[in-house]
Order: sequence, then structure tokens, then C-alpha cells
Amino acid sequence: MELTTLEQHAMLAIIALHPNAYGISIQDHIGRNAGYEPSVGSIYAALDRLEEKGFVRSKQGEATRERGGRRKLYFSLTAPGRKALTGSINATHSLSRAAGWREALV
Amino acid sequence: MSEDRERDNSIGIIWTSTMKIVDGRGPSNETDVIWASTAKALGAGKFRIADPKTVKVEVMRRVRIRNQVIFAEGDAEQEIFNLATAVKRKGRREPPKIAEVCLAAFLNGAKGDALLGDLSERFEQDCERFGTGRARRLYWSRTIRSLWPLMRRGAARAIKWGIVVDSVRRFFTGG
Repeated sequence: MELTTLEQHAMLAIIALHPNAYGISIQDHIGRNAGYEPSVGSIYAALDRLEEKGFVRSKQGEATRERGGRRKLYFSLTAPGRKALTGSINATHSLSRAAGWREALV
Repeated sequence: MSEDRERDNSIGIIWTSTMKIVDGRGPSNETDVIWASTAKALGAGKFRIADPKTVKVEVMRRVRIRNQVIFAEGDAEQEIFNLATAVKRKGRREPPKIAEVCLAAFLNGAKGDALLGDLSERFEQDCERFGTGRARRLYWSRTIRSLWPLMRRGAARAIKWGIVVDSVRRFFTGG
């Protein structure tokens, strides 16, 4: 099943941040490593899609004062999610190898 | 007790929720912190522990701060009012309510709650870094940026469920 770029980035962030992957930390991780900062809304929309597909699961965490007493929602990848991510990254790699994009861009 | 002394005694701040006169012995809770910042700005010499009954009778003006009612009286009345208003403004570190309602309309349940919590957390960080005014503007900017993807997600869900409901209806009605 195909993944959008943001879905792929969010899933990679979840793996990197495990077990502390929640909205803000995912947003910061993408901002630091991918060079753009998606809105929190787009991250949650992507995570909602991924959860519906069964690629991620969420677990409620602690509520703190600075969060206005609202609970965090921690995300982790499921086995089908890992498989889909691997497939998506492999597809990108083989397409880029086939295109010889480095040579083409020079 | 002379008239001057009575008047001097009546200058103070009283919280009706507890009927306690805060005498500046050091902040012990949020209410005391508000008082302490007001008293610090005014100068502690102007304040004396007053008799609660006297102060209650002589109330001239009241200011609501974080659901606490402050009564101020005497020479310092206007000064206390101005400072209390300033403290109230400074202490209003809450994200814009309308923005929260806009977001909650498109994502409900645990995810909606978590999204609002994340934005509140970011708001607190922004308050520390830039101050409340800029933090509130940034909150609005983040809300507006978040609305479109959430609207699209909501529409996609609605269409999907619309198709499901329509299929079930067709199945049973033979349409």
C-alpha cells in the first residue's frame, strides 16, 4: 500500500523517537531532519490515516499542567506498518537507482 | 483607634473564596503569588493586616483574577486596581479559546484532545520564549495551518462513511 511523503516521514520519526513519539516530538524530529515543519494538524491527519490502515497504534499517556490537563497520545508502529514502510522506502530506492537521478542532476 | 489608623488598616486585599487576608509572609499558593507580585510593586509598607470584617464592609472596588475576587480599598485603591489588572493580563497564559473550538470541531476523541494538548504545550514554550502576546498569535497561526489538513481528513471520513451507509441502504432497499 502506498504511503505519502508525510506518512513516510512520520513513521520514520516514530521509529526514531520510540517510545516517546507524540505530536510535538514527531513535528520537531521532522523539522530537524527533513528541513520542513509540517503543521500539527497535518501530522495528526496523517497519523489518523495510518491508524485506520492499521500501520500505527496509539496509546494514551500522561496529562500535564502545560498541556492544559490533556493527555499525550504516543504512537508506535505495528508489524504491517513496518512492512509497508520498508516496501515504500525500497521502492523509492530502486526508482532513484533506475532513474540515475544523481547523474541526471549534475 | 484613630480615623487614620482605621483607614490605614483597611488597605489590603481579601480573597472572598477563603476570607483570608494575605499578610505577605511569603507566597504559599497561586493566590499568594498574585498578591506578592502586587505587593512587591506597591511596596510592602503600604500594606497591613486588616480585620476581615472591616475590609468587607469598606469594599469599594473589586477585580476578578483567575476566578478570585480581589477587594481593594483606601488610598491605594486605584493603584491596586491598575496593578491587579496588569497582573491579570500578564497571568492570562491561556491559548485562544475560539482557536481551540475551531480545531476541536474537526478532530474529536483522544486524537482531538491530544492535538489540543500538543498545541497548549507549544503555546507554553512560546510564552516562555516570546511572551504571551506573540505566543497567542503563533497559536492562531498554527491553528490556521492545521485546519485545512484536518478539514480534508474530516471530509474524506464523511465521504467514506457516506458511501458505506449508501451501500447498506441500497442493499436493504434494493435500490
